[in-house]
Amino acid sequence: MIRICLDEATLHRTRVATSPLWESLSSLALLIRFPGDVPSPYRGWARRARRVMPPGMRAEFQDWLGSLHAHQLPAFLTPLPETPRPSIADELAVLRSRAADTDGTDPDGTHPVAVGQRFAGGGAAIAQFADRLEEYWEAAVAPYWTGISSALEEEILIRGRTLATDGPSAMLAELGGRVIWQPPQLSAPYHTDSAYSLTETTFVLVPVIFGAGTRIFSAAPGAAGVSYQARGAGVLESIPAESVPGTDADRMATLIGRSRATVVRSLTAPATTTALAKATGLAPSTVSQHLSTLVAAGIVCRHRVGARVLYELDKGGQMLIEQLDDSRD
Amino acid sequence: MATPPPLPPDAVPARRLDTRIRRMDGQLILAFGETALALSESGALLYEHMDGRRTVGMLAAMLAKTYGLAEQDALADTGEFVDSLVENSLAEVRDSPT
Repeated sequence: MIRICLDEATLHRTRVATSPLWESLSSLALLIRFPGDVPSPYRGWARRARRVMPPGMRAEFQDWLGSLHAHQLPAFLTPLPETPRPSIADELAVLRSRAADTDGTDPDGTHPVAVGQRFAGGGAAIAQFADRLEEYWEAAVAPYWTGISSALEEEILIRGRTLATDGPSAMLAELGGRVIWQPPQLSAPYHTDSAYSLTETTFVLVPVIFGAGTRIFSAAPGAAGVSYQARGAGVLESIPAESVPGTDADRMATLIGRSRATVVRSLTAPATTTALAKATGLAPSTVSQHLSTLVAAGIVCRHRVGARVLYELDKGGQMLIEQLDDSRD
Repeated sequence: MATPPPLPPDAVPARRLDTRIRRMDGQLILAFGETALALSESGALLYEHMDGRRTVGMLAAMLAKTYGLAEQDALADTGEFVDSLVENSLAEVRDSPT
């Protein structure tokens, strides 16, 4: 269990930011933690990730990260996101810049290095790790990133609305996923028993889709952050656009049309018409047209959240995916 | 990313019923939640005729006739206008009933 005490100043400096780097590390932790079958909703993603990872990569990461599930990641591997939505390139650049600055010991000095001896090589080792992590990202996470970032965008909007209307305490109270807020303490399941007290610190909450892999806590001078399980992990059950067969094998496209099938597959997390248009590359009006048809057919349902209209798969849509997509694995 | 295909002429755009509409200084203002959109004269013409029955092709033909535009240009402008309404949750598009 991790227990983080927040003083009033820290509480009011709470913000939410996504991190492709933390997603990548969390997803790697998932693959290492479950050498065999990975639980739902990560099963399909894990099967494909293992298929596309270059030979030996998983063993190499196992070597790099050691018993990841049992220890805290050192802060030099988990820099806090500097903006609300950094790109993986931004974050790898931060990782590499730290590599250039370090002499082989824990550069932040805030956490013991408890993840094997590979990083004893110092800056060169961290730079090499960043290169391999970039390869891993490209192969295993990037193909899903459109869907993941869409789900994270929804998550940020939801949390942001609570933060703006009811304040940081209300937002922390509704994080869920076994994260408990009993002012002034935030507690959550963790690999070790750890307690931190933050005073006048910027506190960053990082929603991750791969939260089942590990929980990341990171601290730097004046700032600290913790990951939590974002809603919408079901987005991983969709087939990434890049791997959808283009011809006869795509039975859903044969039945309901290619672009309509793309809309259905993009709807594993609730989304607005605009978000779907961005995710699919279709015009908003085209997406709207498909959604109207899918709503009328009982495949998709719509509901209103404040000023926005969200669409999500109805039972019929979920069955369509189960029957026509899942059997292709 | 490739340019999305244009809205087909037989698609039927419709105003969202939960849109708040005001006319200020002769200009039509649409509001949905925190979104507000001021329509140009041609935009207002299209919006007023988006009744859930007229197709994009019919609306474009009306625009072309009113402003002396080429049909293809009017079709592209209509598609773009409908896109902007949909993006702001002010309209939705349906298949042609026929």
